[in-house]
Amino acid sequence: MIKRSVLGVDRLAAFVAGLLLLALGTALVLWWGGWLVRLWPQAPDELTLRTATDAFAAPWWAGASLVAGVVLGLLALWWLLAHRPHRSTGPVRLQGSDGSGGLLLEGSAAVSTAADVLEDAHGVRSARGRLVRDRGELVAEVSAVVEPTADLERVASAAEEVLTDLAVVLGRPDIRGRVRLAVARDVRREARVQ
Amino acid sequence: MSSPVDAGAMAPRTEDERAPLRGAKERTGSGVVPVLGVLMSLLLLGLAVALVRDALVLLGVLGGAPWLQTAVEAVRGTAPATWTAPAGAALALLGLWLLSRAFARRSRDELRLRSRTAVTTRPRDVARLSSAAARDVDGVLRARTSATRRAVSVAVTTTGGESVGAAVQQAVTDRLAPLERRPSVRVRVEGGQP
Repeated sequence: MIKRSVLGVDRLAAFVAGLLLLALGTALVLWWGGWLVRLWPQAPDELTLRTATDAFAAPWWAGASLVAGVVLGLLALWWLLAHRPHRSTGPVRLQGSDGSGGLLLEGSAAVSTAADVLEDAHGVRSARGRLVRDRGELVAEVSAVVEPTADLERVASAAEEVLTDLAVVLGRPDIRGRVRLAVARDVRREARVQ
Repeated sequence: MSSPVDAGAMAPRTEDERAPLRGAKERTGSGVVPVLGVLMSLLLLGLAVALVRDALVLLGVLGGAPWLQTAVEAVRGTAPATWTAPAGAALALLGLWLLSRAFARRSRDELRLRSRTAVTTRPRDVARLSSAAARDVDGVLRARTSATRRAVSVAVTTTGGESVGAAVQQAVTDRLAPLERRPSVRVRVEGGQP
């Protein structure tokens, strides 16, 4: 899950880039049709790019280019790396913990165990679980793959049961739960020895 | 906090201590926005690399010609030509598309099962369940399903009689019954005896 603030930056950048491209594209069409001079009387007949060539010739260009390159590069790297999904959490403090750090629990381990239990339910092919942070909530998230022939009702009640046990283990009412069911593409015959 | 998404999550916890973890918020997708973010950050990184390289070339650290100056020289002197109009139109359209993505709503593709916690699946998985249910009906040779959050459309190839369509409809509806908001089911029968 990418942070919402990063998505906000993406949207802003898409907005700015969209406006720039729209303006540039419109200007090109107007220029081609000879209508640009009506909006901008000094519109040139051909590209001179004098500002750019003047800048390249200026004595400060090399230094400015270096500084701008380093700054933009760091910014771009931050922006790129901010898109790494990072949702995992550290240890979770349990209810009854007295602040001395006595009762810490590796949350993902508990959720992973819950997933193992769900895996034994009828119609469930495999399940993984971990504790993630999602929009300010701690979420015990179990992702299960079920058979295409699975009885959803039974799977849902098995999932409910597993999250009930997990609620007892975690003892933290603020942790939310979510079981995501994906359906396998093919039916695996005799997948389980009953 | 009375949005439908949170309605289940905010349900009061009963005296029953064995309640499952409360359901997490609905997962929302961010669509193409983060992809655009990554692309734009890569472009920015490329520009930064060019700036730093050019600076090092100008400072005499590296050999070769500065890239940015070469690029500017290449487009200098360009005058409106036949290609200008379509290129401008393409750029403007790309800009409009970027603007539309910048303001696009977050996508939702989660379907919930009736449960005291959040048990979710997606339209793709609903389609697979529907196809499997349809294939279990007598006389069905092949079944293909497309699904959205609101509607499921099953196309079956059959050797059976007229009743196959109704039987498939029933089977799929039954299979999807545990969904909180049941999508509408439409069946198209191909082949079969008149």
